[in-house]
Amino acid sequence: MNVENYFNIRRFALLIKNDILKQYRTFLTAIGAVTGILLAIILLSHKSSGFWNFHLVFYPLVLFIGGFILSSFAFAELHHPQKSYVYLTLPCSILEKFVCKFLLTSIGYIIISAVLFYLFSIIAAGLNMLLFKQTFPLFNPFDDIILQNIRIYLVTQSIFLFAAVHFKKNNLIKMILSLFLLSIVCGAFATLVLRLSYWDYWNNGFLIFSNSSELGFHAESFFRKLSEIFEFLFWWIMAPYFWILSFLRLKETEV
Amino acid sequence: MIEIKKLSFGYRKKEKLFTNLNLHLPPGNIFGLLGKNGAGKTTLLKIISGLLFPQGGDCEALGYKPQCRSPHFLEEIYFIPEEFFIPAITISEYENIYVPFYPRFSSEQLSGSLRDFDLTMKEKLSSFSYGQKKKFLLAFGIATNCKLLILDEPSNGLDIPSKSQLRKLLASSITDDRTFIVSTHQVRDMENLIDPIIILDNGKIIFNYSVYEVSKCLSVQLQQDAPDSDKVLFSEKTLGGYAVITENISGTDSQIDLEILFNAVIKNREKISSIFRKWAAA
Repeated sequence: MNVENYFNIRRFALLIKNDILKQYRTFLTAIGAVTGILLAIILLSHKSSGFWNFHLVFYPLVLFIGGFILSSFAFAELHHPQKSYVYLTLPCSILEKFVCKFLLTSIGYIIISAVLFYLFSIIAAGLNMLLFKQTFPLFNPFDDIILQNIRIYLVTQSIFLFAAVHFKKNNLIKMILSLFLLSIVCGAFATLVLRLSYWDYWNNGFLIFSNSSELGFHAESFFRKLSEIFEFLFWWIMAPYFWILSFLRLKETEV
Repeated sequence: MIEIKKLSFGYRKKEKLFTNLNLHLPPGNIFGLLGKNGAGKTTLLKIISGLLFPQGGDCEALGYKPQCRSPHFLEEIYFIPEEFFIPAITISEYENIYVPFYPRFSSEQLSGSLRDFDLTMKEKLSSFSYGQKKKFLLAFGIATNCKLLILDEPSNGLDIPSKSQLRKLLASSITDDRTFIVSTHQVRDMENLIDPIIILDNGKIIFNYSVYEVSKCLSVQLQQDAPDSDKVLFSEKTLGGYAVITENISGTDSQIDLEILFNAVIKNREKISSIFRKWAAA
């Protein structure tokens, strides 16, 4: 097996450059629009009590909404009748093409959005001082809440990246609707199982026990275990699962 | 160079476009791929370039399986489809983005071809007409110096001087280790350029012969009256008479109009094939 066939750092760097050069105009327009909206919000809400939490509220919004949109359109070329020829015959391996999109929409987007948000907070602070003679906090990307949001974004972004490869049109809407449908199905299934298992304990739509031992086993430790399993699946399994699915889907895409 | 064995492919499960298709294309030629609408020309080109995957059999190009899309294979092919996309950037920006992927790309060759096509490097690609964009892509594809250049309807949208320029460019760029495949309906645009001629009909290769073989086996005469001999393989009313294709018994070479040849092969496939088989056996 020749590694060169799958990954070559020179080719990969060229691919990243290629992607950035092709997309930077759209990205600059989006940055301009978001900056304008955020500045307007700051200037209009300078007397509001939530002013000091601005970054903790709006950076996650920019991170998630912007990131999900960006991820959903990451493979737009693949589904365009004419662009797909160029993209699929571009002399790079499928792995390089996938890793390039993944890095740009995950780590790349996080770094760029954090740096830009920091620069934006400097401008906003200057404007506040100038116009309202009041201080405005600078954005701290290493704040615990921000870091936790970044971690969640890194995991959940993988679903939208998969949607970008899998769906041909309206990827974002289709993925949101799929997630919504999936959560309804899972919720209904869990309710059904609990209802059938503990029929006698249902009261006005709630499962009520006077004593956890009524369940016939240690309920608390069971639900703790269950939650640990779900946490593990969320943090460590979900993202790699969707990355692999996306890669395989990309590999088998035809025009 | 390109070896296709027992290839099968279909867009619908029950309806196969290709079944057991075999094709061997050696390097150093400009192959003309002709066929009616829906014959499978573009599909075949897409399979050769790895854009579609064979559903059965084997397709090998330049020693690679195209469906694996190996970067070394992709460096050696350039596919210009009939409908294409060009970003709204300048020629130099386009060069900056795509050239590094092609190891033998020649910028001198590109600027030379662009000059021949009356295009300048500073212009924005989005300001070009369809024909100008096509000329740019053709010039770029040739300048990649890749081993396999695939052109789907390359003369569509080109003005008359550009068509002749394209013929000159392709003829001067072919080398012993390069292969050009030109799929076209505009056979007159590609006359005196494509050789051998491959005709695809209903997913089958019904004709695959060089111009030399054609001239040895068939002969074309122009005659005033409608032909009625059973030796006539095909006849077509033309200006001032009839173009008649018969078996070349005299041995004198005659220039064959590709359009007439194509119609003859489509109409009288069996008889023409038997003449070529007989000639090959002799």
